[in-house]
Order: sequence, then C-alpha cells, then structure tokens
Amino acid sequence: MAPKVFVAQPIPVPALDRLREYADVEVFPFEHREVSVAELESAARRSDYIFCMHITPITASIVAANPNLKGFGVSAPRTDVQDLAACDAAGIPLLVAKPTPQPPPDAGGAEFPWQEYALNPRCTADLMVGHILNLAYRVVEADRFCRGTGYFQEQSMSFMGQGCTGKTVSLYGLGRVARHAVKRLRALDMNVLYTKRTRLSSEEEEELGVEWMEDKDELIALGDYVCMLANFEEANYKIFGAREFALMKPSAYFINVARGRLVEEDALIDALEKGTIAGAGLDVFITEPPLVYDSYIPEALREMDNVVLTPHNGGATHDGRRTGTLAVANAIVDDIIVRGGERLRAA
Amino acid sequence: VRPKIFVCQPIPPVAIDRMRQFAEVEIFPFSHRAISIAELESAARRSDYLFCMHETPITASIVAANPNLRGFGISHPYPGIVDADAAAAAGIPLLMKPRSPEEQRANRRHDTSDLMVALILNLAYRVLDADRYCRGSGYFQEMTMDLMGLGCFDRTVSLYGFGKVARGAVKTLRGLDMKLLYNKRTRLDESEEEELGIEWVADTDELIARGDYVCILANFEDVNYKLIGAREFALMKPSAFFINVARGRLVDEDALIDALEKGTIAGAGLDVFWHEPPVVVDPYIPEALRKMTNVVLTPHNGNATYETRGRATLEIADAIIDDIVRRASLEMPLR
Repeated sequence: MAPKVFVAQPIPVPALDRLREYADVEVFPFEHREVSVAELESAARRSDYIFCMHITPITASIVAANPNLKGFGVSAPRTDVQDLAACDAAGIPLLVAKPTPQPPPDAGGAEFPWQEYALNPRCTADLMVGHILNLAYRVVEADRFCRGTGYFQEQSMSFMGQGCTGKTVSLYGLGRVARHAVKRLRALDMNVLYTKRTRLSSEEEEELGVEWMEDKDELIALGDYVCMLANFEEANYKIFGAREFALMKPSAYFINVARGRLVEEDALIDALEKGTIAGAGLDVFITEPPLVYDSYIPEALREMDNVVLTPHNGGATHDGRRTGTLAVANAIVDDIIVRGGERLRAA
Repeated sequence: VRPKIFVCQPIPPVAIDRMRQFAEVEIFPFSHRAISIAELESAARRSDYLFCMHETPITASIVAANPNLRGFGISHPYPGIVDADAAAAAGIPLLMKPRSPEEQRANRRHDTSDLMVALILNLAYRVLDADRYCRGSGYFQEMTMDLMGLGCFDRTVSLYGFGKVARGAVKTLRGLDMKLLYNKRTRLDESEEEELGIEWVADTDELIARGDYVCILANFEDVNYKLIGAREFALMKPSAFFINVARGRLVDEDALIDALEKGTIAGAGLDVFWHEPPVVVDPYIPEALRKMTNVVLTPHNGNATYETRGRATLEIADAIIDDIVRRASLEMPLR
C-alpha cells in the first residue's frame, strides 16, 4: 500500500508532484489560518508522514497520536515549535531537508543559475528594495488615490515623493539580505551606510560601495531610509525603540523585512502617528505565527496611509518557495525509497 | 508696488518662496481638480503674471481678460494648450527659462525610470495585493502560498522603445539580475548594447512574446497611436505583466482591459491612461481598472519627486523673476 503523506498547509505544485510520485498525498486545504494541533493529531492517525512547514508544531500529543508515524518532513529542526525529545522517545525521525547552498557573493546577472541556490535572502532583499521604491514614489498611496476619486491634476503635487537618486539608505545590520540589497540600492544611485557587529575590511567596503558608521545613532540620523536588518537574538530584542525613532529625520522612512521583535512596535506606531518619521514599510510584526492565531497586525497600522504592509512575504516567489518545499518533499521521498517504497507515478 | 503673480495650481514651496522675494503670490488652492478657464480669466484680471503648469490652458479669452498682463510663465509652449498667437498679438510674452544641457546633465535623475522599476517590483512581489490583504483580515499563514509572485531575477524585461526612461532603468533592472531585450527605431551600436547589457530583438512580436514584464516606452507620435492592442496582448505570455509609464494613447485601453479581464495577461502597472487632463476634467481612470486587484495604478506621477518638480517649477519661477528684475531695471511701471 502506498504510504500516505499529510501536508500541513497548501504548498506549491512541484513539491506535491514530487511526493505523489511515491505516496498518496493529502493537503490541509485552508490558507486563512494554521492547522491546529488537534487537526495534526487527527492527520497523524491516518498518515505515515507529515510534511511540516517552518512553524508547524510537532508536539508530544501529535507524536502520541500515531507512534507508528514514519517521519516528520521539516526544513530544519526548531526547538521552539518541535518537541524533539518526544520524537526521539517514539523513534520517529525528523526528515530534514538537505540545505540548499547560498549563492556565492559574486552571483549576479540573468544568466546565473539562481534556481540551484537558496533564494530566500535574495527575494527578501528585492522585497526590501520594493518597499523603498514604494515609499520613495508613494505607489501604494497613489494607487489608492486612483481607485478613489479618479481625478488628479496633471503634474499633481499631491503625490510627490523623495525618490531614490542621491538619498541615503542606512542599513542597521549587514547580513545576507543586506548584502543582496546593496547592489540594487547602488544601482538606484543611493548612498549606503551600514553598521555591523564586526566591521568589514576596507576592500570589501569599497567593493560593495558601503560606508561604515561607527556610531549607530549617527547611522540612524543620516538615513532617508533606515532599514532594520540585525540578526534576531535575545540581545537584539526591541533594539529599535522610541529613542531611535526620535533620532530619525522626520522625512525618513523605516523599513523592516527582518524580524518584528527587533522593534518596539508601540513606539513605531507612536512615531508614525506623531509624524516623528514619515512612514514605514513593514514585512514583519511583533506577533506572528506560531505565537498567535488571530488577526495580529495592529489596527493602528492597518489604518495608516503612510505605511506599506506585507505579510512576512520576503521569500514568496514561486521559485523561492518551490525550492524550499521541494527540499522537504525530497527528504520524505528519500525515506520512502530507503524503506523500499515503490514509484507509483511518473514525474 | 510689488507685482502680483497668480500660480495656477499648488506647487512646491521652493518655487513659491523664491517668487515671494520679488512679488505678491496668489495660489490656486485646489489639487483635486484643474483650474477652469473662467477662473484663469478672473485671475488674469487681478494679476501681473500667470504661472502656468504644463497643462494650464492659455486661451485668447484669458489674454483678452487682461491685455496688460506682463507675461505667462510656462515650461514649454505646448500646441493645443498655449495659444501663442493670441499672446503675441496682445504683446504678452511667454516667459521660459529652460536649463542648459550642462545643468540638466549635472542634475540628471531617473524618477520615471525608478517609478517603472517600482511598478515592476510591485507586480513581481505583489506588494499592493499584500498590503490590501494585510489591511483586511489581518491573519496570514506563516509561509503563506497566497501571495507568491514571479520575482525579478532570471525574468525578462522587454523594452518596447529605448529612450531616456528606458536608459535610466537599465542599471537598476540589470542590478536586479533581469534579462533585458529592446527594440528601437534605430538600433544602437553593438558596443553600446554590450556596455548596457541589452539584447536587440528586431521583431517586435518576438519582443512582446518573450517578456515577463513588457514595458511600452515608445515616443508618443501619430504613427504610434494605439501601437499596442488586442493583437499584441494576445502575443504576451499569460504570466506576463504590462507596464506603461509613457503615454496612455500608445495603448488601446479597451483591449488592455479586455486582456486583463480575460486573463490573457497576468496584470499591469499603469502610470498613464487614455484620458488625462487637459482633455478631461472629470474622473477618467476607467472603473473597470479601478476594481482590478492585479493592476497597480499611479496618477501620471513619473516625475513626482520634490527635486524634479521643484526644479521644473523653479525654471518657471525664474523666468518670471527675470522679467520682474528686467522691468524694474528699466523702471517700467506696473499696469
């Protein structure tokens, strides 16, 4: 009998096709909410494998629901959402996706084989540049305006923005996402300042075209677009708060595609409401799944005209999510093959 | 007595501040509509100068309303908008002060190009969809598959036309690792193509068919009227997006709406429309477009940065100020 895989949320077709070569596949059908623990327990009872996304919980109760489960397919072990001890005790393996290599630092051009590499940081960088351009040219506001009254003065002064040319981007942190973004920001003729725990070598700074700021306060004060890109770790919890927003130019925008918990969200809302800063582009929020199951983007943000909101969607290209989900599917398929499973359908 | 300048629409403070050093300035206060001819006639009667934007009409009736007007500050005598003969007959000068090519080069910006890239990124990452979604139910699945987009790298941009705007976008699009195809009346040198990193496609049908993002950038002239219509949209990939930051009249707008409604193409980013001022004074973006979630609409806003509009309005302000200073030096009386 063909093994049965339960997929914990809708995923791109290529990963499903891969699974269906070796298994019968059931997909949790809803996109407006997460699968619940009760639903996962029930799914475990009628399945051989569970395909988990990054934040799908693996609890002792799910493990207990079917101790004969053959494995959980995961992209990476995560102690905050997965009870690894319970899996171990029951002898159910975590089938971990083979890590996709990061593109080399000099990757570039349309001819580069992007599909062979991890795409999440690159896509997130593009989304960040998208946020900056959106704010610089007030595209979201302009769109709303066009859909409303539909009339605008030729050469209207209503939607003037500050644009990109010659403006300064302050990168608070310079990891993978920031590095990918730098090339695109430089192409827009923007000045790029950065801070980082460990300063880059001066050759590397020159090659990237970025300028080091010793003093973080100065970095914040000089930026027309201040981008939060620090690693999320305990020490960085709410590192950007009321004090930092007060340092920003009132004409400057705040962009966060990193993690919501790096920022004091109430202070951000306050700064936006009081006009301490001009606006924000936000892909991440202080409460996100798996911590919450209800609506969680603050009402105050959702009512503002000068913010652009995206739902932690940095990696959400068809290519990027295909690569990520295929890697998990392959981990499950490999296990099916090892256990002597037969190919049911052609690819 | 200081001369009086009437400014025909709200403009950036930088130009107003400069004029106020030399004159009394009155500003038409509304931005939700264009000034009417009756209002311009009335303003002419109580003013010495009219500060006109690109689309402000200068008619014989406005000239007749005050034959003692000292000048119209304009950026360019657009035919069909500026009745230059009527102004000349009344001896009212059209005051212009275009920047020298050197100054223009020194201050080169790529605002319209940037806006085009912004529209591409918006469509590629479905930013507007995502924003609307966030403002709505407010819940989304972590790693949601709801809002996946086409992305940029590996994708092909087809530039139908290759003037200033296209040229200004090349560096950014290349920076996004996109493949660039183009067509132009006269092909560039091969060395220039190579330097820019763009590939010539002789057949415009092929150009349209290969693009993931098809950008119309042709000059607006009679021969290019409705250059893109139902036939061309049918050539596009169904997954491809159409982008227009050039002129609405290059495109058969009904055919575009039809292609969007039928799913012939995936979506569009539009900064320009078939009907725009001064042709119309009522709402004019078609209702059908305003209801679609796969389009991004901006109000002919390609040069709408403080710098660019500030500089454009300063040119007109300086033309008027030069005339004020010249007349003062000649001790020419007001009215």
